[in-house]
Amino acid sequence: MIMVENLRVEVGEFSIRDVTMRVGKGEYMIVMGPSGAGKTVLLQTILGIYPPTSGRILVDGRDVTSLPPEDREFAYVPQNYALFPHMTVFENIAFGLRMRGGRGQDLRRRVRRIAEELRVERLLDRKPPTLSSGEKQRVAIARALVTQPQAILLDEPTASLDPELRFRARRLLRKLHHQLKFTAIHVTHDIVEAVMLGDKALFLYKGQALRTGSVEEILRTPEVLKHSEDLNVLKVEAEDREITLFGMKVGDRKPGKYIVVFRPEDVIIGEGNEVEGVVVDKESRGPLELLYIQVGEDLIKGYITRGRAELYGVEVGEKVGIRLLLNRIRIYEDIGDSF
Amino acid sequence: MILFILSPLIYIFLAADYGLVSRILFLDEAYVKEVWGAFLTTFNAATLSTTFLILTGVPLGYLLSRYEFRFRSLVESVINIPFLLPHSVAGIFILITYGSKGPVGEFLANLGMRVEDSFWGIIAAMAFVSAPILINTVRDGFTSIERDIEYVARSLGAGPLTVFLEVSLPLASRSIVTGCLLSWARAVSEVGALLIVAYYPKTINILVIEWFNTYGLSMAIALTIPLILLSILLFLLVRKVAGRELG
Repeated sequence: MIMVENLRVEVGEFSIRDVTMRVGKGEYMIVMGPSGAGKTVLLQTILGIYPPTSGRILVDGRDVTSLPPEDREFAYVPQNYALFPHMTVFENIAFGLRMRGGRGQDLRRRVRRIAEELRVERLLDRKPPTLSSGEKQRVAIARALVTQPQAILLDEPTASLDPELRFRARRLLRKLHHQLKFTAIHVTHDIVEAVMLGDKALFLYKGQALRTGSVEEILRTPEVLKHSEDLNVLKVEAEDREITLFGMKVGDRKPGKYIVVFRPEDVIIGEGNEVEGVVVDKESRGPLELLYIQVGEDLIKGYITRGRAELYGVEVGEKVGIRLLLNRIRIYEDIGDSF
Repeated sequence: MILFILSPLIYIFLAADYGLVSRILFLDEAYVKEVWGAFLTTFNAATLSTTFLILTGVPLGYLLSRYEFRFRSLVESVINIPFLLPHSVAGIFILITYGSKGPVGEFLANLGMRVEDSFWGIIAAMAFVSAPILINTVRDGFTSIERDIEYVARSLGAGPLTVFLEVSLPLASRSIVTGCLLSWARAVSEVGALLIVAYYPKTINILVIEWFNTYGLSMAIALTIPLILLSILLFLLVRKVAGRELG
């Protein structure tokens, strides 16, 4: 269990104030928030790079706040993977084991085992500059996991990948987490990634934690939605080979869990639409109004022109009809634990 | 501009009397001993000066690239002072501070390291003028290493010294070697400070000036030919090291 209690950190002009979070053993925690929210500073403070001005970090009840990074038993995977370019893949993976006293046959066996797990065993003699982005990521994860750390701390580990590789990388992380049950604190600004991977999440904004809870709970929080990417991300289940959202059929898929993604401009708001929601908040965006609409348990964002808003009398607390531009909806398989 | 730089180089090879070059380098006993002695003094002093700079300048370069501390910019300015000084003035600096009548020099002289007209004086003058080259190159080399690489190494259980020795130092090795070659070359070419601090034992540059004044231009040209060849060799070496791909 990792406990972060009332953490305050100052780095130059920027500060993180009173962040508290609890990550249970084997949990996958997402730290999300827009750029400049302080996600990386928080992660690197937990890692031991920045000393907090107050607050505590506890690992299984042990206070590690004043310990240097090498004594905290966290493994760090930054966005660029930071592989040691002058070492082979084998030497990269073996580094942490060697630092903790690993030698000889046992070290080689452990490196080979994790390399097989991550399917990088044929790369062991290569050097990082010769690897593809996907291979680098797998090596970085192998290097982090091989020491069986208290937690792995991932800082936007899929941000530098193209969309196809990014999806594969998320799938790999989910699969590894399911198999190895490691504890993870994963920083991302990507809501889809958060939904796909997180057991729990913390939403950070301007150095403060706005909300902690399950990813779904977080995405139903208006304050969070206001400060996150303009994207609607919802978890759905396909039954009878049909994916339905708010009673509307949005796609055909085999039974299973899916993530449906659509933009606020893909939500048509107006009278006569079959689905009804309640406006919980609104804000001006130039000639448009951005509405926060509660539909059943979900909270979504949608745009309406100011003229139409006036015409339909759209006000906070009032009901509105919505429909979705079905051809604009993206559907991802929710990786879940189906391995 | 290229012609401006290249023309003297071409012309000196055309103007040189190669018979004279072989006489002073290999054939005439009277000159051979003096010339090779001067070369040896120059190279030995430059090598020791660079060694001293590696031992002190590499940690300082790392410190400057990695740590924020009070008076950091003042330290960086101080390091660059030798760049700005006329070298004769640098010679006077060394003489009044490290000379046997100076505050530090008296202590050094008691240890047998007298600076005036001695081998130690040559090393001191060379180290003084070439220090900024090595420190700045090394600092830039360390700065170019992504901090995340060091953070990852720390998270995997390596202490600061291990990170420095196993990660940062190998990654900065190209910059360190380049800095060494450049500062060695700068040390070899030093003459202004040496004229003030240590005319004796003669380095090769002092000998060029002396021969020019004593024997005339053709003898001085003959002595510059091996020096130019050495400079070209060093230049090629620096280019090779600086351009070599990591790994």
